[in-house]
Amino acid sequence: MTKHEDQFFEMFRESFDGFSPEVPGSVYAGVQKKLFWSSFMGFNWARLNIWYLLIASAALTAWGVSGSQGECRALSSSHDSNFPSEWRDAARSQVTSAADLGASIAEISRQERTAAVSTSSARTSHTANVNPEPAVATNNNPGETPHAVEPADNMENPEIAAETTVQPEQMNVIAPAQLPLNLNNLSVATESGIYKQVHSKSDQVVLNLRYTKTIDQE
Amino acid sequence: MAELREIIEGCKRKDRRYQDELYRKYSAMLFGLCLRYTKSREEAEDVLQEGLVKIYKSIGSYSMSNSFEGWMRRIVINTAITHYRKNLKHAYHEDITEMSHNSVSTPDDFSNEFSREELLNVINKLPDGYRIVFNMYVVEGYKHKEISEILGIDINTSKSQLSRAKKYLQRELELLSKINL
Repeated sequence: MTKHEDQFFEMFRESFDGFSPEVPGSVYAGVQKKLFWSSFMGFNWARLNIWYLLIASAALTAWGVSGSQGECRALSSSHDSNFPSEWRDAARSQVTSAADLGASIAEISRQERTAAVSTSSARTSHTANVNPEPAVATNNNPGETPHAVEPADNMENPEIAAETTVQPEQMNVIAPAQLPLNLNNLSVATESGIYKQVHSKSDQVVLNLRYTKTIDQE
Repeated sequence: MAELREIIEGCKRKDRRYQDELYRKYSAMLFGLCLRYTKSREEAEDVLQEGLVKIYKSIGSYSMSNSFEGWMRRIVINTAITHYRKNLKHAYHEDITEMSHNSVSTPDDFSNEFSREELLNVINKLPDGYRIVFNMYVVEGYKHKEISEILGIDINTSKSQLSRAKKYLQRELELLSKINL
């Protein structure tokens, strides 16, 4: 190193000796935040961290799932007498996708239609003219109580003198919460009644479908 | 005020009181170091933050036989180098651009006519690679061999970067000197 070079470097060395500028307060806040997250994410028996929360949330989820399944079984068994066994099978199905949900609803509708046609055929012939596809619609007012849906063909049939709404019944379809549907507002219209979701729980949405059926009277 | 040994032991137990004490005692000195190794104040704050987190996390591995201040400085310098490597793509581009200005020959003889802020400003203007080598060699007192090992470069690269940094600084200081007159 030359003498000139040494002098030049010495100028910098001397200038920065004991250089201690003021540190902004935000730095330490950031440090504490990073330390907290680091401690929180790391496994440590002695501290509350994410692992404890994960275990707790897993336990809660398991409890919620078993609770909702128990509730479904209870509801289903309390209304067993109100539905044909085929409808119950379709309604209890575990839905894993939107397509499954649609298929499940279509199955309910199909079985209901078959039953309606056979019943009507025994009495009169006018209910045989039904819409072959189930309609799925969202209800903008979830708090609204389920109401009777008047079948379209009834309006044209002079033989129908009056309609009577029976007490709402319930069916259950279990669907995961991540289904790409607004399940909170879900209602399912079929030929002779409307299913409407009234309850959801935990990480699964239990489509606790309330069913109102209109009965045509001759 | 707690003794250094007490502070270190407290920090090893992750006691918040002693962590605060360590911050109060050493953060300004470490921030000065960060300002020399980075381009801007914001970048220096980021490096200091990362460096302090590393210090608090790894203080358990510190042995009392070595200088605590030196140990902390090494951690912060390594953090600054890591930060530089993350932005290496941009830094390389800048090095090429800046090298074209380094053909001017300027005298070495500068008296202490510049303030610390002025010197810091010219250091901050250096391309990242030059700045790191310059700081490590001139201010921290590392040898070229150590610099080459830490940065993973050839010894000759370290020497040439220092030489270029010096020329760049001389040129900038000469310009500054003319403005001041």
